[in-house]
Amino acid sequence: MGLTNDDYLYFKNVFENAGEIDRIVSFVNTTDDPPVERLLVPDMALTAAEYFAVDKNESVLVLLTDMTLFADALSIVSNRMDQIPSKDSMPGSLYSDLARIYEKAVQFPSGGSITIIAVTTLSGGDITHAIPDNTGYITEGQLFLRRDTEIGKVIVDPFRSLSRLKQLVIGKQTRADHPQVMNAAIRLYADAANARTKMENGFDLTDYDERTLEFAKSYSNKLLAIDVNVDTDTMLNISWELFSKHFKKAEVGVKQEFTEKYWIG
Amino acid sequence: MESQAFQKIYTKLTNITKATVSLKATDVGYEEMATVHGRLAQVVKLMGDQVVLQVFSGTEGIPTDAEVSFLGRPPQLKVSEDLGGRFFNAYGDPIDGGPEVEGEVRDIGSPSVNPVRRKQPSQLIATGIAGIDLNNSLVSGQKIPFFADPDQPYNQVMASVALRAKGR
Repeated sequence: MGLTNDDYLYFKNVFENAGEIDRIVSFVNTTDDPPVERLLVPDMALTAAEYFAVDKNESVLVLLTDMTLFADALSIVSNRMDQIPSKDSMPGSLYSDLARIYEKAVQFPSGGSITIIAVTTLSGGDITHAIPDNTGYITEGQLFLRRDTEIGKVIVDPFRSLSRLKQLVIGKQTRADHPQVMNAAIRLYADAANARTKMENGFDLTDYDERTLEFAKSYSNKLLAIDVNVDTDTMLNISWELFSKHFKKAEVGVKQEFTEKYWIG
Repeated sequence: MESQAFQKIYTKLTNITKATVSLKATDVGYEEMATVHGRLAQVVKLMGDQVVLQVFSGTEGIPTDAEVSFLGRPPQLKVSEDLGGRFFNAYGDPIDGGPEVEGEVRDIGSPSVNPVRRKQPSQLIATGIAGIDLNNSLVSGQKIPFFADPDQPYNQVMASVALRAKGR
């Protein structure tokens, strides 16, 4: 929806070169097309998804980009129909308009499923705008992209991202140490953020602070950056490598059974 | 554009706004598709015999005596295995130069699945991106957005997710 021609060609190229094109169905509204046409795109894509998920019992991933431009089209229509606008000049029905789309995500007992991953672009990181605000009430969490100036890469921000369904699978379908490693790493990453605040305000850093900063940099680079592509076991192994390199066992605070098994050195 | 053997054509618009045209018509349904002056439009409001049509490409240049015909159906998509690998526009028409898709015709915008027919999501989806798989694992049947500033490479991330995503 509202795809620039460059992005359209990018998607087309990537899908064709990957040799996976037969498994992908695309519905496209570019910036050249009338914006109001966008309103049909999610329903078209979801109708195709339902065919594969219900009739063929397949697992379907629906990617919607960019839902902010979809919502902009909603506001164009409602404003032109002289409806009274709500917050941020969005129609009062924004919540149900978005929910109607996102609620199509489903797991069928027969095995078929529809998983929806969308993009909501923000203006200047403002999550209080009506579009991300309403979206956040409907979806099961959000993945927040942020540029990490320290390493010069875009990362998935661990503080502002959340997948509300992760506890259904981590440590069960992934390695048993997953939940503990995840929590320990985030805690140490948060300590690094505190250390950085200290540093920026001219306070002295302790030895622990210095080590958290070092850890945060490697953690960002090797794990949070969006150019990472490894399997989950490798992610956990990298975490253990970083723990062992920068910290003492007590500082990491992971259960002894896991530390005995995975601690390096 | 489709045409039927016996089709009623209306030629008197009563009101034109930037996005909509109004006319008096009968036997028209909500969300029904229509053509106005050769442009695709959709019924967005009904009040008695007063019909408001949203013209997708805008109403500029549409005369008050423009020909309006109703297609008797909401927006539809033909579904079959042949959808795979194809690119379509917002109306479900191919834009990749390939042939029309043959298949069962379905109305778009059907209601979402009744909760009693759903199962608790339980299958992990791996993407290879640690910021997702390690800290915010995705599960099949989940709905989740990326929040990103417009200058961030969110479409590249989406493309990677599309190609790598695998269940167990």
